[in-house]
Amino acid sequence: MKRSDGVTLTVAGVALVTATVLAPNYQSLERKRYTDRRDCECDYSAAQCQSAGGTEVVGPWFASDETIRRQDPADPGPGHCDRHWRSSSGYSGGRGEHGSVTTEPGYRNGFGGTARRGTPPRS
Amino acid sequence: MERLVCPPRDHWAARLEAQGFDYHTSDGVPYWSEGVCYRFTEDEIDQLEAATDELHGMCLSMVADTVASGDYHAFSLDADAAALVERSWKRREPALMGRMDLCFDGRSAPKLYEYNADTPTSLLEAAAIQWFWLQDVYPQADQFNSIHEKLIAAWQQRWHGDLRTVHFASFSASREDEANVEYLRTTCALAGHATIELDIQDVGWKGRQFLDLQDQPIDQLFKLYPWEWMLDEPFGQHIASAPTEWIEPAWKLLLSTKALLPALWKRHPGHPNLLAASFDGRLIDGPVVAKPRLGREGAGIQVFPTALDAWAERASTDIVIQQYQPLPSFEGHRPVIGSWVIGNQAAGIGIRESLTDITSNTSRFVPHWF
Repeated sequence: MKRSDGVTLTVAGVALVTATVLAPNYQSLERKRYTDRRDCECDYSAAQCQSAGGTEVVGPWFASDETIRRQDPADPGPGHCDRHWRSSSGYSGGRGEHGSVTTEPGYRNGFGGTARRGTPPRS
Repeated sequence: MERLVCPPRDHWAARLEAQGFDYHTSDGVPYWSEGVCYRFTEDEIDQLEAATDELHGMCLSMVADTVASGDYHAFSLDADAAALVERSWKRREPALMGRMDLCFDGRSAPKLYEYNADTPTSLLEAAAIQWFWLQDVYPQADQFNSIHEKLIAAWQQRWHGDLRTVHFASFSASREDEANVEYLRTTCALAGHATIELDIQDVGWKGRQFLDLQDQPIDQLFKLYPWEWMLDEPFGQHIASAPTEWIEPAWKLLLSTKALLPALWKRHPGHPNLLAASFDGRLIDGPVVAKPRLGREGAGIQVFPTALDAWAERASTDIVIQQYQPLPSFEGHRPVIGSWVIGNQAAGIGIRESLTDITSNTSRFVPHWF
């Protein structure tokens, strides 16, 4: 049987769940990983602090580049406690008294470079 | 097999556009050929189907034996790529689709030029647009084309009935690529899965997994983007540790390279569906074609009078030399048969013809019937 049973779709007319949105100009992202939720909730709202297994909590992703962060009002930034964390008087915000804070990197634009140089990906 | 003039449909361009095929003409040059078609006999279609199934079976055996031996030297894969190939094969990650380019004139056995097993395109026109054409022009005739149904079935069977969210990524600067992915996404949605489309550049990596623009994990990703490019780009280093299931699977790295051709010839010398091929051409008599291992759309393909000439000019580990088999000529029009494999089955053909011996991105798609 070679014959198609019939192409029943209208290709351009099928309703699809579309989640394509404009990408923010993030090249490099980062977020903080905390061993104590109180440190995260000092930086962000409780809703922005997500469990990451065990007692670890991660904050939201933000642009590494401060210029980009300023252009994007939705960017959560490095956290409210940072002002205190980096003040000349030391750890005045209280964070750091509970647990450790590390930063982990994240990125977009890590795929696509070869095609951007003009070679078509199709064959 | 014959090339026929057939009546062009009224308002055919508008029809194609309504079907989502809005790149039927590019820079004023038609890509879709309205008003001509190829007619086959049923026996010819049977030959194409059988050859495609046999060649695909030979490819799968070759992958199995290569993984079993662990010898990837002929494929120029580094240890990381080889590990991905092995992992995906041992997990039995299923293939979705591929397109073999075959030489066929209706008289001799079909011959494999190459296997576009990773990022095949011209899917929309082969699966849907030429089918709509058949309904309009030759509604009583048949067409070797069950690509659409087989795609839906492949999506349905892929996770044993489990419904997933599947991401579809392409390089969206290309309308043709986007349209191919949109069509494929439609077949996935018709199988019941949720689908999300994004530009390959918008895939994010955040420590442990690939994420979409909503920061949702990408658990299954169809990518119209070559494996070898992905592995070379900055995110390539994360592929091994990410939980993402890739479509096509990484073992397709062994099939989407022209290094497949010498590998098959070595295993099946003299096979009627193969052309002699090797890395240095020494054992090939007569004219040859030099092909880059990873060339696309005819780029870098060159015909030489002898293998010695090819080797003298193009000697490189990145070149594969194949016996020259000219495309058949139908009053100067040279068709190549794109024979689709969906899942592991021959599923239909699409024909692109050109005026030269090398099919490139300027070739035209011509519908067929039998």
